[in-house]
Amino acid sequence: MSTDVEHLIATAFEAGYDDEPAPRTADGYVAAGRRRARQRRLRVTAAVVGVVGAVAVAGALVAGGAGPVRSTPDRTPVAQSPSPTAGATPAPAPDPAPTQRISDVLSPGQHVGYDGRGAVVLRPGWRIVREIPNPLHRVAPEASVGLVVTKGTASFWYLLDHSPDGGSASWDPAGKAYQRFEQWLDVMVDLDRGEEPEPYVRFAGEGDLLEAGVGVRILRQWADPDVPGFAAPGDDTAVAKVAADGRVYFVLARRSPGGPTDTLPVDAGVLPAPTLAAFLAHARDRYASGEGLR
Amino acid sequence: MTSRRERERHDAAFTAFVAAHQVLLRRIAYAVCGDWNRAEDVLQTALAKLYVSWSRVHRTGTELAYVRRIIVNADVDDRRRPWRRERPGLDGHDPAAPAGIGPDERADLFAAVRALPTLQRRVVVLRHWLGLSVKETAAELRIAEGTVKSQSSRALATLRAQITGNRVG
Repeated sequence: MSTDVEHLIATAFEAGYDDEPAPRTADGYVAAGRRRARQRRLRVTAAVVGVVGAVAVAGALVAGGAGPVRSTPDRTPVAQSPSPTAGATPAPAPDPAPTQRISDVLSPGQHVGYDGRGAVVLRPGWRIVREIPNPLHRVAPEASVGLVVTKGTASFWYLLDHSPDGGSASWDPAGKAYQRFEQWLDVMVDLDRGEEPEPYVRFAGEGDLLEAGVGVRILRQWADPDVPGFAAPGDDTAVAKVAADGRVYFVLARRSPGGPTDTLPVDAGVLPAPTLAAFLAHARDRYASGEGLR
Repeated sequence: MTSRRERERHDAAFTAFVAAHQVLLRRIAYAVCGDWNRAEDVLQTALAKLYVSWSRVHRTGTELAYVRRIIVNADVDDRRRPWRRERPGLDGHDPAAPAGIGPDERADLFAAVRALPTLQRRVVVLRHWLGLSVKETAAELRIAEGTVKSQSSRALATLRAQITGNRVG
């Protein structure tokens, strides 16, 4: 029997952790909730807000004995919409940051990120081959940047966000679910704003029939795809091949009883062939690895 | 558009919920993801979503289950999505009082739980701490009931061996 261990688990968790942070005031959570609600309302108008605060790649940062590239927030206004720039050019750093180890700035598996002062730090051996300034429309001293970094044949897509009291980094292997960096970045920006991307399909009613979202055309659909780990027993599941924005996607859809439709799109361009079989093989492989499709 | 009075009522009810449950919810987040900063990030995201959906969820009285589900799935989703890291500022630390289990034994157990594979850790948290049924755990984690049972069995065997080993050692 496992009663002894189960009892210990329940007792230990109830007692809590020795290094548990003190409870925070609820005000911070209320503020975060209001921001999220406001972001939802402002999403439509966000595209016309002026962009201020570019990231200019600057000189090397001493980091644990290595010399990664860094950039710092710049108050100079830049383009009204993100525009790609190839081969970010290093420039002199106006305000050198103190010596900092890469392990203090970048997490394991992370190749590039902002340090606490808003400088972009790059792991040795990696280089920035593409930069989209400020996709999150931050205003200095906040900053954001979309980056493509490479080392040999490895390539990753990044969205970095910096503010004086925190920041974030999102990344994916290049071409995992989207063929173009701009597509991926658009989705990441939506997620950062607290918005789920507009779904390509949703379940039409009871059962597993899908209907197209706004501006989307369903080319073909199949019920109950065999992708272990994708959905729970009893969920409605389906896959659709759709055309949207001039591209073709396969979309896995699932819905728990009484819940909303959850969709996972994959650009057909990243598959070996634009076929259901190729898509299902791709999806099974992702779920078997534990990575999933998001 | 909501009136100022409605918003005050909304915020007061939400604040009371946070005050009553944030310790438990943060522990769940930490138990699932194993890092206090990440736990705080997950908790803040979950509570922000709850804030937006408060009126609808509050009416059904399912606030706690709603947030717990977001926490578990947010972490799952974050692992499926591009890796994401946030650096929110945190207040000081406040040691929790032990209850019914010695501090050393508790620390050993937490370390053993943290060392479990991710899925086993989540099953342990949902099944053996929060008391969800096999069916509920399967639904929460989007896995088969048989997987819950097998993962639970392996996890408990590992934990038992660890604890016994520590006691003997």
